[in-house]
Amino acid sequence: MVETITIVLGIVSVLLAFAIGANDETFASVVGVKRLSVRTAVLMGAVIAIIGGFFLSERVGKTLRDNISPGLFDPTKFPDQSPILISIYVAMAISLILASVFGLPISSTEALVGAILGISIAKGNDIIWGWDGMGKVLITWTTSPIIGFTISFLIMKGVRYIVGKSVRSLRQHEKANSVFGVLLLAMVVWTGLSRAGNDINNAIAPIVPLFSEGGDWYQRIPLLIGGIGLGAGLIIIGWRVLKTLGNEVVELTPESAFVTEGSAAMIVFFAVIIGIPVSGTMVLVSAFIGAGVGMNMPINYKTLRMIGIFVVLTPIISGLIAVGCYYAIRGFF
Amino acid sequence: MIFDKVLGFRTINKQIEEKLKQLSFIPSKYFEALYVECSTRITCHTCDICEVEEVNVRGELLKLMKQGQVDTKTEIEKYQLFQRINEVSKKSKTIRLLMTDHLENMKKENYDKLVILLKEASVAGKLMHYSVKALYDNYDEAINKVKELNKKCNKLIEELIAFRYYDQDGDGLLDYSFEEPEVLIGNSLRVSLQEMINVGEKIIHMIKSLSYNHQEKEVDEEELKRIKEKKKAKQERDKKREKRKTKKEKKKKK
Repeated sequence: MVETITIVLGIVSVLLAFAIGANDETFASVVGVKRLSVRTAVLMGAVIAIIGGFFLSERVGKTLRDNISPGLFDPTKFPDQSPILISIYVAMAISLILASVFGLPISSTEALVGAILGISIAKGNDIIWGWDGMGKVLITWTTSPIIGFTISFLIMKGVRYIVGKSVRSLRQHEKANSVFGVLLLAMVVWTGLSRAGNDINNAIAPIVPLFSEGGDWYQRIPLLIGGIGLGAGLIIIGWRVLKTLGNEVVELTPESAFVTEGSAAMIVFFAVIIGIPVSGTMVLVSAFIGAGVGMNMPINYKTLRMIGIFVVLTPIISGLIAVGCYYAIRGFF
Repeated sequence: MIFDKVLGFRTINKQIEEKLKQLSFIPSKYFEALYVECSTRITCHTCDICEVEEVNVRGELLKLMKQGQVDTKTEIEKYQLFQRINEVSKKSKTIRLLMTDHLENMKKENYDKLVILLKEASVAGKLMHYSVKALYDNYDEAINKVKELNKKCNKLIEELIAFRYYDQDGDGLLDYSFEEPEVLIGNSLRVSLQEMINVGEKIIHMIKSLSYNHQEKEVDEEELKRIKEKKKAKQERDKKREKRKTKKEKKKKK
């Protein structure tokens, strides 16, 4: 018999997956350059989210659960799993809301890791700071935006050089746009799969152990419901984000969208394959900046500084909220 | 579905290209037909056909542009180009009306001059069409064509000023009225030519914003200017030296 708290936490994680899906901007570029309509992009994104979440998220989830703070989600070691999980979810939700109030793109991955660290410290559980645990995560967090920027910048310079040499008329320009449009679609599918594999863990990683007793398919239920939650979020609310970003905010050319998405997809996919929880948002933002610099576009350093500050503060704030919440609610369980 | 859409965009782009070229050729045909009509004073149906053709092509283009990617940068640029070409056609229609209405009110000399200018406007229209065509074929060629177009239009506008500021009674004083038929027709023709220049400007703007290495081109042009200036300065210095030498030689001889 499934416990009531498992059902409640399952619903909470689906809602979180729903919220992440609702705020997913992966398909914005392809809508922005009018390669797909909002409806097609949303449906495609939902299917990709379910597939990516189901097949690619396992290793990242394992790192989050077992490699950062081993045993934190083990009911035999810490029987009070309910306040731990609720505190983590509340911390993530508040951090994301805070960032949204300031209008800054922050990473739910960072918020989750920060909450896990906070609870681990509060509970006195060991944290692996070496390469096998947080070391790998921190190095990836630091290097992934730099790599994202560099790859995006270099690809943009290369693309502009090649296209600048070969495109000498409007007809050729339109042909190049068509080619980049097809390439962009491929890149967006790749990014969607990789990000779903990464992001879905932010919603379901903590509750996976609750489904550990059962067959292989029973253990995969959290991945499936996470994927469905992500897809549903994209379909029900996410279309608004795509419409806003794609039609009103993002001014992208097919080649710049291709470069940005391509660079982000490469990095996130690599991180997902080796099982590191990477911030898809940060990678995408850095890739955007790299492409912008490659196109000799001006950069708003003030906003960039604010994003940088929030990147550093997100895990700290999330960790502190998780600890506060844990001490506030543990008496009820 | 996705590939259909991508391929659909490409066929729409091709159709838009054809229609834009067709639309840009109408002013030239129209002015040529108008020249024939005015010089022979026999109603030329080509003008009517051009008017119908212009309306049809404009409608078809609007439909195609709605089907395409209207919001993208390239499509917006193309739509603005389409609007500017439209303006040329709109103004040319009023010239025909004025020419037929004021045929009897004008001096024969002035009328003949205006008829010749209509022929020249047809040539300018052709240059505009070649510029649009070259935009799709080769940016460098398009830049050259636009330069030719600008030269031609500016020359014609200068000639039109003679109608606007003319000395009617020959007393050496400028006496003109904006209600004079020559002035009215001259002004309409001037506006039409100005719209052709605007089309040229739009083409240059499109090349600059869509081409990836236009900045390099600008640098090259600047360098060329500098080289020319240096050459001129050298030539002037050489001339001065020669003059000094000749003066010295003359002095020595003396």
